[in-house]
Amino acid sequence: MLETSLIKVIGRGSTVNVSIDDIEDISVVCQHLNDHLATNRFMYSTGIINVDVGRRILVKEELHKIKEIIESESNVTVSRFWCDPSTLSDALSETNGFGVDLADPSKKWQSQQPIVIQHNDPATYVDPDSCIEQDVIDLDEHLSDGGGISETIAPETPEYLNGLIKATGHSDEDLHYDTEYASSAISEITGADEDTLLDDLVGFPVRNESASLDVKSPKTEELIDAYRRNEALFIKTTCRSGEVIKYPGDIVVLADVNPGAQLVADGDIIIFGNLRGFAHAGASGDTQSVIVASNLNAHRLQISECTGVSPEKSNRSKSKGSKPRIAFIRRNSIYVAAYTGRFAGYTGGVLYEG
Amino acid sequence: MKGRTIVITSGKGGVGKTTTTANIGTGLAMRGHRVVVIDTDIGLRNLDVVMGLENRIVYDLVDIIEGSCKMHQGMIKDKNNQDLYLIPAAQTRDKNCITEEQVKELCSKLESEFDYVLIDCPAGIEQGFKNAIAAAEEAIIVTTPEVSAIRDADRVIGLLAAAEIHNPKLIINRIRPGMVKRGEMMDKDDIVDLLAVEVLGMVPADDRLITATNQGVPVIHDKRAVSGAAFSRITARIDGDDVPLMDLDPKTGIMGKVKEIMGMNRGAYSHA
Repeated sequence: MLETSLIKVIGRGSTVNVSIDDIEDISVVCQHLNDHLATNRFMYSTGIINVDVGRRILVKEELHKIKEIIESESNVTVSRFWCDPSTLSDALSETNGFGVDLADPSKKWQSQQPIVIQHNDPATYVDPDSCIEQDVIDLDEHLSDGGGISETIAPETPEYLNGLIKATGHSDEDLHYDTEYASSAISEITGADEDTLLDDLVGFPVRNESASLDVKSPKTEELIDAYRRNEALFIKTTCRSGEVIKYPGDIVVLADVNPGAQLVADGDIIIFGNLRGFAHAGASGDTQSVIVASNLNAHRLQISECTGVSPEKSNRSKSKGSKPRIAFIRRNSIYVAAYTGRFAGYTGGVLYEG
Repeated sequence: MKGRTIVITSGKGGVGKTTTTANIGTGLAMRGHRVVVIDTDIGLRNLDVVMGLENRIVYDLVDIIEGSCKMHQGMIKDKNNQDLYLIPAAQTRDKNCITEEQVKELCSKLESEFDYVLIDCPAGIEQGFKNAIAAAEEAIIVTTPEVSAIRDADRVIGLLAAAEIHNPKLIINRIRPGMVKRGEMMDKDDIVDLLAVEVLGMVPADDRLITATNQGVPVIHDKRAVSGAAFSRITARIDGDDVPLMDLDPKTGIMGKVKEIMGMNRGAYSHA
């Protein structure tokens, strides 16, 4: 989107990433950030952003400072910090770690080659006096290269804002998703024990359902990959009993979800197969999330806080001949209706009582 | 040539892992291969009983692994087949006294001497299971047509995938064709629909199998047993022969019906 000597702002999908230089002294970077935001305040009218600190190792106070500068000089909220994975092992030994989120921004951005437009590019430049909102939308059109994303700067999503700042170490229900992925990735990189690392690194308890078995889910790699690239998680193999897959975005399954398997997504869940396990969409609170399945045979579903149990008695589910169905929330209850090729606006449907 | 190491597992107990191991081991040996079967169910050893070798045990798996006997001292030669050996489990120890690495090391030695190393896995998914699958490159899942067994099989398939053992083969044990036909029991298609794995074979419920097991003679020796014939076909498939799965639907005429009612249905059905 725009780039200065020390700061790079890139819109990707529905999120905006601010990447700060990792070589220059931190005080210089902070000053630069401050100046930049002060002069370009109109650019950052609302929404949430991610901050990528690159290879730099920062302590909690410094992360706080960056967050403070950004939030005081603009109206955006910092949702999380990212760092280069290669610094994680260093961070552990040198500073005892201060909860930097794990990502591989170089891979994420280089592999996808996003359109990076100079701020003074005539194609995108809009007079700040004319229309601030227009500015945002205009830039977005250039950025969503085929992605069809309409909101570069997301509208208010309070749940997300409630302190997804890992650096602060606030205990937050939302946080455990990130830590789980981080933990898998960390052990992948360092080969060290997940739990010990995480305790040191993040500083709050981690929920880990599979701890007793200490095996990686077969999907771990796909999950980390999708998470790094900031896109939906595509699962191409059967989700089997005992597998718990949590993802802070949308999940698409191109196989069956068997009884005893659990899918938990902050976004929507789409299944091109037989859903017989448990699916939980909108886990971070989004009541607009839906669950769509070619064969929706789940006994129990959850969207946001709402749970529903299938009224059907039969537990023998034949996959033949059934039509895709969609589960959604209406009047604080879960309803399931025949899927008609749209994501919203359903009125009928069968009630799944909670 | 390096031998194939195959683990026979199920998750749920009592579905027929040990019987399957004994019969496949015997079947492969009857086909002229050198086979060793290992009982990894330490503390609850059974395979020796099913193979009728209980009286010959001097040393066991733990003795071999701990080095208190030589590998060949711990291997018991089968009564009927000189190419078949058993390594029994220790009865007085528990599953935590051996490690995955030790099992791997033992199996790699055995692979150089034998064509097939079959590992009989204990029930459950704890340390015993991990030990059993550690050395395996292939897996055979045994299940019965019951939801509980299938649920556990599903879980085990997932755990095997996590341990990089892909494409396990499925044996459906104790199928009752009559019940399947009446819709009272899940059929092969229902099970495959859920588990999404390749079926290696189906073994019908058979009284002769129980008799044979109690006598310590694998049922595959019994030429008249339908279950023995099913195990022969399974063995041939493992060995690479192209034996098609037989249709479970008996397509019986009136006589078949009568026989079925009179409990003389052996032969009327063609069990895979």
